[in-house]
Amino acid sequence: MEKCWKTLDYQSLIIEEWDSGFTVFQPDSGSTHYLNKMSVLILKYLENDSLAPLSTVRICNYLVTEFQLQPDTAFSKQVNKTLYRFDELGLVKQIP
Amino acid sequence: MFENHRDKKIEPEKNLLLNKTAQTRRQLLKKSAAIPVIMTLHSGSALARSSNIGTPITDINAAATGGQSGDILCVHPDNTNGGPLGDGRYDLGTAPMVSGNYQDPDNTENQAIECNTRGGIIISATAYASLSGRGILPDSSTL
Repeated sequence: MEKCWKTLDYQSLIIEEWDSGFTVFQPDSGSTHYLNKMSVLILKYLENDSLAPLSTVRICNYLVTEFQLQPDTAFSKQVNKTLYRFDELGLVKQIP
Repeated sequence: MFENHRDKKIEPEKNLLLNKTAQTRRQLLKKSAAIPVIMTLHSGSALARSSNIGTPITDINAAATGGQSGDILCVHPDNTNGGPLGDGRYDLGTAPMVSGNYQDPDNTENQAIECNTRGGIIISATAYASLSGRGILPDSSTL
């Protein structure tokens, strides 16, 4: 079954844009993360469609379109890895 | 009076090198934009350590030179910037507490048990003295 994701307490995040990327402060854990534009777009995309959890494939398709990339398996793997990292940090949660 | 660095002429060879570096940097940024990146930032103050590193004694007899009270000390690391380092060593921090007034001052074994009960770590008085001798830690005799 395909993995689906949704954001976790996105509203509490304090996101600041800088020249080279974004800092995301997570009040719950007190952690600050550096994210590039693509990572932030993943979170925003998940949040905007938060009523329905989104699949990894759908997220990849969205990013490929947004960044005009050539879709490949390496890219999908990288996005999947990022989503798992987000999950570990409590930024998103996996919906079975 | 002051030299204007903006107008300073750059030698052609150096200019070429600078262009190449800028180009590489642009390529790197372009490549990293094509994959999602996340890095957790760590606070510098959280990582700051006082470098008053001590190792708790596991063998009391090895540290006790004459079996008398005073060879070992029960130290409570400073909570604000000390604590276990995760490898068996402890950073004592800048203001550790040394507890005394043992019920059984001449028995080092009992002192160790009592120290553990109080939540402290046993270190040799010599090790402590070597740290306080640098003037960083308070002298145990004054505590």
